Amino acid sequence: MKLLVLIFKNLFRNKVRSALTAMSIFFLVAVFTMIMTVLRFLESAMADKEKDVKSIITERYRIPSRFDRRYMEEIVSPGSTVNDQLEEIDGFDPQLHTIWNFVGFTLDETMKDKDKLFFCIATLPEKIGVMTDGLEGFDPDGRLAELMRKPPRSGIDNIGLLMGPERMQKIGKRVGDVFKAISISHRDSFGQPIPMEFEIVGELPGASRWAQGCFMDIEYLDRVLKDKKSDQDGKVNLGWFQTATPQAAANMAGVIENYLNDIKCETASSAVSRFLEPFKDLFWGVKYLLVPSIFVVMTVIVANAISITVRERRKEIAVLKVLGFNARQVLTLVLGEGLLIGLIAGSFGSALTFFMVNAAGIKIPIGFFPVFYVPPEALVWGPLAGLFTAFVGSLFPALSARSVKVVDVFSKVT
Amino acid sequence: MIPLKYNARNLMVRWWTTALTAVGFTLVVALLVVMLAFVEGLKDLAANAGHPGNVILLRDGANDELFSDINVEDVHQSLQGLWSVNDELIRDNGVPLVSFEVYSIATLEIPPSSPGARATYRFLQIRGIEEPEISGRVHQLRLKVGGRWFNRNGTECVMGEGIAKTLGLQMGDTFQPRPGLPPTWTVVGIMDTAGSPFDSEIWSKREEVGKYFGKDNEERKQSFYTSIVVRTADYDTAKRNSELFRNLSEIKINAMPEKDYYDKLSESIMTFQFSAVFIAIVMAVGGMFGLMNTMFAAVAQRVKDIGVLRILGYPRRAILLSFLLESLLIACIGGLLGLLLGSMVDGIQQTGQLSSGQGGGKTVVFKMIVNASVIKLAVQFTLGMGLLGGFLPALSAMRLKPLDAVR
Amino acid sequence: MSRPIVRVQHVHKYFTRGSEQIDVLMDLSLDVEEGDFVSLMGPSGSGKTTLLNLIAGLDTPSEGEIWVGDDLVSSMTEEELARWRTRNIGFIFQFYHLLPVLTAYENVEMPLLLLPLSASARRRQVLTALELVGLSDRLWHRPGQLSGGQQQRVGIARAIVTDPTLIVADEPTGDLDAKSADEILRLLNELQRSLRKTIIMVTHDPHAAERSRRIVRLEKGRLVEDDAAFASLGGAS
Repeated sequence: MKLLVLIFKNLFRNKVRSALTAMSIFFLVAVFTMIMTVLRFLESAMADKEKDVKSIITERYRIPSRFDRRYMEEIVSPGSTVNDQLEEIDGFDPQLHTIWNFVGFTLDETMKDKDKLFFCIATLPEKIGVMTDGLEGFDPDGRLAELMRKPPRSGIDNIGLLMGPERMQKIGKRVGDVFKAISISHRDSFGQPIPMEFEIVGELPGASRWAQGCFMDIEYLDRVLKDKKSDQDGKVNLGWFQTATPQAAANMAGVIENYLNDIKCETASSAVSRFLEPFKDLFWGVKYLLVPSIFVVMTVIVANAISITVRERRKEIAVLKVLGFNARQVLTLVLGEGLLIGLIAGSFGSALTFFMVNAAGIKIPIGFFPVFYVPPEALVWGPLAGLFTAFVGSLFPALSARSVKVVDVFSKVT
Repeated sequence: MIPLKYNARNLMVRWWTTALTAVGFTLVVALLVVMLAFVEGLKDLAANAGHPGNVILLRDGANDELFSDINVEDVHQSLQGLWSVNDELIRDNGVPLVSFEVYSIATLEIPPSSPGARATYRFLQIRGIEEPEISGRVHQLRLKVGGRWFNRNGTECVMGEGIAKTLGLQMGDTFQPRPGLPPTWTVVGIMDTAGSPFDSEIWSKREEVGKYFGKDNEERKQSFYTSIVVRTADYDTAKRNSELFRNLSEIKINAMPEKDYYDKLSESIMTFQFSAVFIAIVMAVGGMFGLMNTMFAAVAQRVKDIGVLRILGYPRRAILLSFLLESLLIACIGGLLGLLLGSMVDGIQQTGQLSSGQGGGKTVVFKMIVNASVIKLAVQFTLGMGLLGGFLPALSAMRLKPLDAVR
Repeated sequence: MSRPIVRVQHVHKYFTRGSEQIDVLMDLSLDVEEGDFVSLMGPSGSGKTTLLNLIAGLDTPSEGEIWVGDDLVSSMTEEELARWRTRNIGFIFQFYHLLPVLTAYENVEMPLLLLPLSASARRRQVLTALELVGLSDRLWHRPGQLSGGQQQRVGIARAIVTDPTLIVADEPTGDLDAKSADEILRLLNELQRSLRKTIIMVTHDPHAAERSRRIVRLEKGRLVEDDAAFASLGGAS
């Protein structure tokens, strides 16, 4: 206990050095936290899930995927051959599905202004809060669907829109606004862009990857495409399913691909992995070059600072030994100082990154992940990284302090 | 001026501290070089992609081939006439150098490795071409010795070196992009694609690609090109003609010089570059504080030296300069090693992606490049960190009062 | 008699600590003739080192004037003083204060680097200085490889290498054993006699003081005894 007090006091003796060492660790831990945030997120997106496994249905051979919506209906409607087979799978729930259509809109008729663009996912409104990664629990009482179908202000069926705050700011709209937009991705039978009307009925969570996102009711899109005799009528881009177990997902995929030759079914993680394939080399470099290097730099900085301290305090260490401190206590004293700096600076490094970065998120568009948020567990990474590097860094100086010989110090040798 | 050997000797006396500090710099600079070499390689590929005289035509509103579709019939009705009257287009024996293409990304099913396991998938970049020879010339691609362009009966293909290697295919091999289903293609040529964005592409007959992997609609008897590439003399001509194509009244298309198209696709590179520099800066700040530690300790250790030097008549600025130089010396030792270490990645092959940041994107294979601009930035980083890290300690050394110092 | 080389005129030096004024030197005047060897003695706190520092241009008086040759040292700026010291003052310290990483030769060369001299001229002067102190065989040794007496001789060589107007020494023998101290004092005598160097030395060692030509005693910031007569006896030995 006394030793701990001494460690604390020593830390404040050379304030400049302690502060500089702490600042080094602080900055390096901050960058480590940010890198790990991106890496961990992508790795978990690519990792196979143990339960509540999401699967994606896509057109079998083409990118971008587009397939007949009737395939989805066949899968979920009771009575079809596929559905009969699927119902026998333990962990398959036809209710846990949704469909996505990607629609690009612009508010600028000349289509020149890039800031007036927004991309929208046309989907089943009641499934948004159930099936969307990152929006779990967004719609706890299930009232969103009703809002999107019966927008309060315009009163036009199905034109309700959910939009992220950042996107709203970009295109200059607010909740309650009713406006016209032109579809640039979906065309009428003459190949012309289709005008549509929307009312923003709700805001997607700000601090999420949906901050720039947008959802519309697929019924509205269907109605317009049918009306305009668009060749995209009746097509969807993606179908989603959630099964209880990986086994159920595999069985489901087997059944679907066996009966429906035009589409494929795979887990979301395997699809993500394929999309991130081009970044493989980059990830490797970050994981096996960048991160270890950050650790080495931290270690080296701690080692340097602590060895300077030990060199300066050789006389003092000798005095402590004369006073009866044993080698282990001297070791603890030096090691403790390093660990304390590492712990404090590491904690601050990750905590500040957590609070400051999460105000905006880390905006590195990789694949279809536009933004990354530092997860709460990062609050543990920082102190651990700080402690680990501080330990490795101060071990050698601490050992050399332990072996300081009283006689050597007091017999003045020049 | 205080001789540099004074600093050098002191660094050698404190070699352990010097080494530890320099190692930090070595790593930071090496990482900076590696990250920038990656970015430079991608940039270089994008910058050299496309012929300056090429104009690329996409559907109105589309900025990426992948999201473009131009009705084949419309093209032949509205555009064909243009070729014959526009004498700015480059011709070969009277035939204009125009490449009609349908580009698509297909999913290749890789059969399960063991019975009972699930199939996995990989992306294939497939381009359907009308006249392979002309397209080859438009894109400045040649075939490797012994190869020939595919014929018109839909049973053959040519491919880039990179993808051939990945798939383990050689000339004469056959392969099915959809295992067990048509088409079946015989590889009749390997394109010399090193360093071009076509390295991962498979080229085959347009109709086949459109039918199996493109957006062709058989019920409505509609076929689509994703892109048409037209050769003009140079960039300015390409620019002028892009304008011309954009303003056609018969057909709405987006046209731009091919160079501009790749510039847009390389926007994602800027994100990488920004991230790389950001990471390097934060790490450098960390390293700089470490250097400050070393230099403050050096000043503390040599207070008496400083006092004596001042008494002998050395002015304050000589002391400041001396310690700044010492700090720079450490930085340069570390930085130079880092530069050498980092430069070893020059030429290493990497996979990356060109993307406009709105999905889509194109997988490319490129070589990392350590060029003058990378070296310049690394040197600037080294000197900057050395100066910043050394400044405060040097200032504190300069401020010492000579009489207090020797006491 | 020629004009004195050092003229200290009505010098007052005080420090303020908080609101309190601490007088170190009070209305002190002193002349030193060219070629003289003066010892400043007195108990600690008497102001002898302060006086030495003022004469050497390391500090400036609160009041009064100090002339060295034709230079009014007391009114120079810090920058001017630094330049002046290089050409006019040679310092010898109690703890030698050599730069530990430099060799004897390089230490002696340090003051010359501030002067516009050719490399060969520099070399000549360094070798001469080191020969004078009898260390021609120790040119490339570092301070750590030399004995205390040898280190102090390097210190003396460094002090004379610029051929300064004045050599000041603060307790030059304070850290040495009797034998080494004697050698150093003999060397100082030699410099004074054969090279006509003016030397001012602070010491509290009567034996050391005896070797000089004149002993000036200070007490509480005032000059209490000026034993120039002693010079003819002790200084001649």
